[in-house]
Amino acid sequence: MSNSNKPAVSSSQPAGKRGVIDQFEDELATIVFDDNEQLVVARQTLPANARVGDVVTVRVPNTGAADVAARAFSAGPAPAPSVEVEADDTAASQKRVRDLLDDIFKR
Amino acid sequence: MLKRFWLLLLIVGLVLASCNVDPATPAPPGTSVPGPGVLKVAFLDVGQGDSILIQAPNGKIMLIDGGRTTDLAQRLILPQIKAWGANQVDVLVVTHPDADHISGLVGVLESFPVKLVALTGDQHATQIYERLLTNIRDKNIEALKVRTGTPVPFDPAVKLEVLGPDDASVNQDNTNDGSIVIKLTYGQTSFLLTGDAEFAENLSMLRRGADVRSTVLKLGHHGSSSSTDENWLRAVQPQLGIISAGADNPYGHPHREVIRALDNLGVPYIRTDEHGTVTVTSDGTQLRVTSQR
Repeated sequence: MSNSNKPAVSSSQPAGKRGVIDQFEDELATIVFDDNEQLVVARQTLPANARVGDVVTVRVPNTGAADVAARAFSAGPAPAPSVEVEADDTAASQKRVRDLLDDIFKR
Repeated sequence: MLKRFWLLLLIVGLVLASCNVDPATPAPPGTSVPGPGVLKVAFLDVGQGDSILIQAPNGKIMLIDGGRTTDLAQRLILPQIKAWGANQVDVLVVTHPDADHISGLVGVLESFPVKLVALTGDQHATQIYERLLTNIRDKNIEALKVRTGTPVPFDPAVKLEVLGPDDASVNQDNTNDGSIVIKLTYGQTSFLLTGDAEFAENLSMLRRGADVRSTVLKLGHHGSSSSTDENWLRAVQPQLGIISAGADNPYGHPHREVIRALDNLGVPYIRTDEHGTVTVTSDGTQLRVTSQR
């Protein structure tokens, strides 16, 4: 079970919010958070190897997790946050989805 | 109230006048024999996203996508279904797993009877997609894995063809080109509903020899220039284009190049961000177009 509902916090970094890269559109990337809030950021903000479906933690300097969520889709592109890919959570999330798909198509 | 009523009539009249949807040109070679009823296709105003509600002449309901927030189910989708006198969704289609297409579907699955879900089975790892799949599993709803040519039960009077995607297009980085593309033919009228399909999937359909010609085209990916150009419009030969997009969306949909292509070829179009929900009703020979504003 991943800790995807917990904000990622470390002593040296601002609080972050967990989400998934939902889609790329030209030079923009849409990140969907676990509460289904959405954030549109410049694609170059993401690590070069980031892919659609990757679980990420989004941090904005001097901004708490709740404020990251507030920078939602309707507000338009946000100023460059830092986005970190969470490889373990990505693998766990993809496995859960694969298992669900197996279940619904097997019946 | 009276003033608003007349204003509505005026707008509908303008839409009808501007759309010129009497299919006088040769119709696609559909084999559907229309019955006594009508086919209703509503392109719901869900903001930046897609949601298409269809009622067949036999009363069956198909819902293709649900917009980008779960509350759209209660605010918009379910009231429309109930207004049409239906008490279940017979076929719920998940064109692809992007959040702006599936979130409202989750709201529907959690609060309304659904008989069958048609989806590609794309392995997309968002929480909202997990929630959608969990609902299908926990409610024991029949799931149909859809690829090109998969038969989908609906109404014998309406010819339903799945024109995409192929197996190779699913589970790729670009989820859009793994969209379920559906063509509905009712009598001489037809609707091409493309999800977010972009040029790669368009080309794939053409290479397979799919008959994409349709009276009404729901433009792919909210009117993005990655989905529609003059070549694609020449292939489809639509007499009406529908663009489902949100006002002032950050992606710039619909793109200027697409509007220019529609204008250059004289294809009338109608946008949900400007006109609200757009409903197209077919009796098998003629289309009637009404809009919310």
